Amino acid sequence: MKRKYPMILTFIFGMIGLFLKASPILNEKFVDYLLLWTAAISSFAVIYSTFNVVKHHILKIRKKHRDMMYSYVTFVGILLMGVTGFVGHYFPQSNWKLLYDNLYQFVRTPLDATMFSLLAFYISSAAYRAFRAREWQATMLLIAGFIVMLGRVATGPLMIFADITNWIMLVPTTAVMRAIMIGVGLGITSTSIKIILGIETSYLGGGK
Amino acid sequence: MNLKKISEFLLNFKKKYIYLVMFVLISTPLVLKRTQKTYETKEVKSIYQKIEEIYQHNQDNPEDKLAIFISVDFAPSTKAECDPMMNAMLRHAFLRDIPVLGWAGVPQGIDYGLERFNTIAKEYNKKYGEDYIYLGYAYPFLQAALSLGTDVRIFSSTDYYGKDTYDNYPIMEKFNNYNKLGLFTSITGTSLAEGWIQYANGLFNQEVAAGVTAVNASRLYPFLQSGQLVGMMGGLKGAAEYEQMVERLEKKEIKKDIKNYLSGLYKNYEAPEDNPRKYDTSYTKTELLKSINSRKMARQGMAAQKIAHFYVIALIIIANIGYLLKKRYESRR
Repeated sequence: MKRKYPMILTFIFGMIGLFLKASPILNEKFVDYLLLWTAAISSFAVIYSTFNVVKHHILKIRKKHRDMMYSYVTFVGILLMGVTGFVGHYFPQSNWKLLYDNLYQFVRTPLDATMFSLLAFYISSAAYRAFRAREWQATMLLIAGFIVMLGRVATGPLMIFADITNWIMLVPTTAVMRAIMIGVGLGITSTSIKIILGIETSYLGGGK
Repeated sequence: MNLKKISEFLLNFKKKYIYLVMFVLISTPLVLKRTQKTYETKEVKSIYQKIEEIYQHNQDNPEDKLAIFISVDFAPSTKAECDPMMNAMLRHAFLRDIPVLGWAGVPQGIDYGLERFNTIAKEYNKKYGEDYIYLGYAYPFLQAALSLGTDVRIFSSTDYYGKDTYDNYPIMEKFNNYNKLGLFTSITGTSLAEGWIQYANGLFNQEVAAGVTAVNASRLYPFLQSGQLVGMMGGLKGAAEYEQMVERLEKKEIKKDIKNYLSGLYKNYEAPEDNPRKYDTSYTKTELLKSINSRKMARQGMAAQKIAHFYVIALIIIANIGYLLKKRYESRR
């Protein structure tokens, strides 16, 4: 029963989507209702995911996991941003809003940017250790990498690399990406059909 | 013996020194505020050209204007690349008096996007709700994309500030679906640009442009070639190109030093009691400096990126010389 009803609903709404797309008249009439419903359903996903995060970290603290300190940090972060954001939104002239803006601008933004900028350091070390001309395929990759890196920042006499870079991006890269995307597209289509017809049920959980 | 020593030296640089040199090389041009000019590519020029076409259309048809939509689909983590793209595009639109609608496709970008919209609008004395609007968080994505097919107010019944979009904003009366948009742009560090191509362009024939991080750029080249994408700004380089073009236009249109222009913008302006603007109508010294610096942010980044690229290339060459020497030494043994 637990699996039967969701599967029936998936089939019905899958078919509704298909019919709406096939019939412009029905589409015009009902698509807005469908949008409102699905937007409302999606809001529950946010509630559910928040509940899940809280549950996960409470369990960690209860079991006295060695990293439980980070769970406390998570709770402090959720509460602080949640309360200041919520109150600040309804009282935009208050200090709550100021606190939220400052937390966002001077804590959240630099933390996020710092994590991403660490890539520059990892890449320099990884390139030094792993990028070797061991075989001809690796050598080709190395040469292409050199050209693109030079081409992206080319000026003056290096402009020849800019032209070659454009060719690399527009011809071989496009060809390979297109092949990958066609594969992905076919995969999405077949998986969608399998889900609508009830052949693929892993989204329901339970393992069977 | 010598070969062994040299190869061992070349292959065993310590990680901390590699990091330290990278840090010094990247920070030096940023601290010195060096900028790097870049060549302009077709992909970026076509976005600029598209906005110019919208401007021309609006000039010729003042009763049937077109707007542009900017989706802030990036988090602060990719701010270095995406922020200059958004700044340049907003400046271009406001310079050309093109109405701008916007929202955020990722939760981390909601407040950031709003701050950028208000800050850039202030530079051109644009009014919230008339010249631009920010609709908050576009979640869930699919519903957001489809709602623009009929009337976006079904989905975004309130704007970021929680005000009803049906009653309060003239801009929403005129521009609420794809038919009234000349261009939809997704600025992103995620795969959301592909989503916009699939739904906005695929289903509604909306012209779509993208500003993406360099790592995501290669995924979008097939869409450029097929014409599903008007143009693309790829990484810091794409941002620098657009920034350059907009700077030229700004110099041509404003005909003043930007500092003088901004300082004088609200000099004799008296804000009415019901000030519809979402910003203070004056400039502090820090704000002025920030605004001037933000006009060359991508080109400053390009100067640092150039050195970083040369450094990585040098490291790869050194490591490969070491590797070849090691191979030779081992084959001799």
